Amino acid sequence: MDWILIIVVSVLFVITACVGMIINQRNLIVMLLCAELLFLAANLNFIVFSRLHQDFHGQVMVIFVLAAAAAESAIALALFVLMYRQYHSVDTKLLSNIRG
Amino acid sequence: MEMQAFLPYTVLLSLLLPLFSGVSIGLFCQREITAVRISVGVMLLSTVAALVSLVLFYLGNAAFYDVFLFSWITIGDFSCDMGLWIDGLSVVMLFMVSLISVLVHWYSIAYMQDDSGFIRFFSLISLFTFAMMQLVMTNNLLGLFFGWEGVSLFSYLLIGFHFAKDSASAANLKAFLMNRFGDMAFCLGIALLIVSVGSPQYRELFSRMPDLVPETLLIPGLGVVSTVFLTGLLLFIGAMTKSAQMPLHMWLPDSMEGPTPVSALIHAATMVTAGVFLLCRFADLIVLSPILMNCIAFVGASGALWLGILALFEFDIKRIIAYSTLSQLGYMTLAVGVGAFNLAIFHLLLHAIYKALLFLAAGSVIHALAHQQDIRQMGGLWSKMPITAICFLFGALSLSGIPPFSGFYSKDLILFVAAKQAVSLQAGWYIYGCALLGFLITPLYIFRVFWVVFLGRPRYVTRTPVYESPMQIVGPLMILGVLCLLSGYVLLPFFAGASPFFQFPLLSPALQPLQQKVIDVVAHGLFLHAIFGLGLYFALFGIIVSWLRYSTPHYASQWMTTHVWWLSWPFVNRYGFDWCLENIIVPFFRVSASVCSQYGEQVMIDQTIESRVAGRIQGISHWFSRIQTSYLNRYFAVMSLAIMIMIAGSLMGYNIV
Amino acid sequence: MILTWFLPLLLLLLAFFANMMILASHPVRSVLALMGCFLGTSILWLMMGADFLAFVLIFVYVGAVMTLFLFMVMMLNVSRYADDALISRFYRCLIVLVTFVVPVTGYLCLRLYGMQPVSLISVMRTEWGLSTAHLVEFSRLLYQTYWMPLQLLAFILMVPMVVATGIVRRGVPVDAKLQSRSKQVGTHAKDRLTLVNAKKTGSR
Repeated sequence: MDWILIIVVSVLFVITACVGMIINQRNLIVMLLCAELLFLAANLNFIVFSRLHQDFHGQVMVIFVLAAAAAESAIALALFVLMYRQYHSVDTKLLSNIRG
Repeated sequence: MEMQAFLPYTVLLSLLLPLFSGVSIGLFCQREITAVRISVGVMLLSTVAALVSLVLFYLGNAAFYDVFLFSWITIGDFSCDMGLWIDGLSVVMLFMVSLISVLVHWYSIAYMQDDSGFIRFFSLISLFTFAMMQLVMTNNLLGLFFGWEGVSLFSYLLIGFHFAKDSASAANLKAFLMNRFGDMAFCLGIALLIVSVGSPQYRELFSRMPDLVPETLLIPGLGVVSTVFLTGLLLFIGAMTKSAQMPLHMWLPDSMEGPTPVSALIHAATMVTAGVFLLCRFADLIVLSPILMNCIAFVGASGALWLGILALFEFDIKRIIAYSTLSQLGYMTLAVGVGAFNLAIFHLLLHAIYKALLFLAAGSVIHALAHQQDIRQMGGLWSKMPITAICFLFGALSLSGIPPFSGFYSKDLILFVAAKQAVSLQAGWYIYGCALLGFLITPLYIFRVFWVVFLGRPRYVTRTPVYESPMQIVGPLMILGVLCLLSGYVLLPFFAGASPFFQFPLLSPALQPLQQKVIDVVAHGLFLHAIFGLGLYFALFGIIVSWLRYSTPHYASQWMTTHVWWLSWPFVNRYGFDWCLENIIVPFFRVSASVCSQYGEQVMIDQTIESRVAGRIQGISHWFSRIQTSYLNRYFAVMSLAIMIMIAGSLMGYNIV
Repeated sequence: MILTWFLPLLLLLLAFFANMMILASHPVRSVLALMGCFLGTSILWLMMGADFLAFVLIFVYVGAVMTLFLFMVMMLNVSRYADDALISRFYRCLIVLVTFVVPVTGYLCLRLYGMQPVSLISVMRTEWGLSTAHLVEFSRLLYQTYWMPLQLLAFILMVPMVVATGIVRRGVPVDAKLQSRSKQVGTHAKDRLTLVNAKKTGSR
């Protein structure tokens, strides 16, 4: 039953990340961090289940997920820099130009 | 490896090169010199590839090659495989199209150089060439339809090339809409063929064609009709519009609004011959229905005579040549109708050459006289433009059927076959009479142009002195002039000899001796045969009459229109076809369109749907749009909440996702 | 004895870090807390025998990506963000804990975790039959079965890097010394040259 605890950790990560997105009102960077936490939870699950089923394909997936997360954060950070250059802030309230 | 293994590649090269050049010029080319280099160079390559394919096919033994390229559509049992159908007919057409196209490309460099749409023009004629080649080379009905519509489209774009001109945009609309009528029939025809045979592939179609004979269709209001007759009739109506046969010919004279090279390429050599090509391609089908063959011969012969006469009452040089094209297309259709498919294709090839020559020579004159097209404003150009004049004379002699120029060979044989068949056909003597009188009319109108334009005193008014056109214009003319002189004699054995280039099915067993007679006539010398026939004398008589009538200052038909107006009235009004179109058919569609617009659009859509339904929806969506705050954090929050609800649900045991 | 409680303690530590990440008042602290989460997770992965991935997580993710985050946050100088929420941060913490974290974790623990003692890393590794052979198997899978996706992945990872660089370099840098052509064109002669009516002084 030990692995249950680890799954509990991953569930906790997901919930915390979701709550973080809900309560965070302003800061884009924290939103991105929450997304990172979601990726982490997914990776954790991959590894737990690959151990349980003795199947290494899940661990290979972790590599892919990590790469995707790194790529995503690289792009997002670049966009933040761009936004900061434009508005001198990374406040989400400033990004409401699509309102009709 | 056999040499014929290369045949699909050469054909494909020839087919795809114009597409490449058209697309690349149209999309990417910025400079005129680049456009010229690409299009002319690529067209030249394509012509060489077509020539290689022609030679390879001739050296091979197979009757046809069915080359599979890719599978296009598969729906249930129905499947359509795109590919190439390489037989004698298609390679000959391929070579003809690419040859005329390359000459027209070359000619257009000088002719179009002052035009602002220069690059667009080259792109369009390259794409047109591709569409025509696709029409010729495809191996299934859908590919044929694709090419058929392609030539319609590019012809539309090219006729309306000077789209700012009102007459040009009216002319291209007229051509396009009339072609739509024929395309509808054509579409129904191929649909019927696909339904009755079950496959759009030529291979299947031609092998199962005889099985269709006993099949009939029950049409409400008409009763039981033979499938073969109905299919052939629909295809023939499609061919009639494309090849501008008698009741559906009105678009062709008007389409002379396009630039002259376009007229030479599209309205003399390629697109208008697509209908004749179609009839020959489906020769297996139409020979099964003798009534249909008789109809085809009747329509063709009527066009050959009556539309030729109209050329005598025109003053626009291009329109005169357009009417002569109509008349010659009538001869081709007549040849199809009497079962001489070989001769139809033979005449098609020779006609493509000499008619392109006539158009290009006319274009040279028009170019030199600063876009003057009225023959009353020309005259005395023989000394100013000798090369153009000689080339035009060659074309005119060909058209009139004077030996040894090319038109003589095909026209004389067609007349011979028509005479032999006159006994067995319904209205056979009318058909023969039309064909024979056409021999008289043809030199009358074309030499009228020649005498009026090139002889007599100059009547034109130009700011600059008139000179012979540059090499880029007279070069193609000279090539075509030489071809005019030689092609008939050289090609004769391949089309009417003992071992013809391609075989067509015979109309009936009664035709077997007829074909043998044609072979015998050719073997004994066609000129000898012509001396004892009527056609040659009619043609010579026509030239003499036109010399007496038109070489004098009374160059036009004013005498007839003023003194015996009641006789010339139907011709001046062009038999009332245009009147009928403008006063009956077009108003009918105008009225029905306005009714649809009034009740269908304004009442149904604007007042009912737009104001009631759309207004209500707008109100609701306005209310809903308040949810869209456009704040990123809110959206994230909603997404997260949804995820949490899903997780919570699955923990509780409800399978939400 | 302390090893018996190692796993629950780690769990609590991770929960603490995760909560700190979303509740921290400054983004730098959030990033540091997330780094803590990653480190704790890598310990979990080590326990489960995913050695390679655990080290990848530490070296690549914590060492490179999260440091990049940290630099970015510091460079952008994202100051303490004044939150205009109606309720204060303490109550927000309370709401989060009471509404989500406590019920879910409590539910899961009570439902799924009996009161058996928790084994140690080594015990778990022997219990799950782990040996060094799994690394060989993993490598074979990664470099033989998945070699093509791995190459693609490397390429895909390269593209965002290039794009990110391109995005950031787009436009004129803040402190670059460049001429503004529009300003140059838009000037008027009278802005540049001022005619001063100097009083004529007599010659000596």
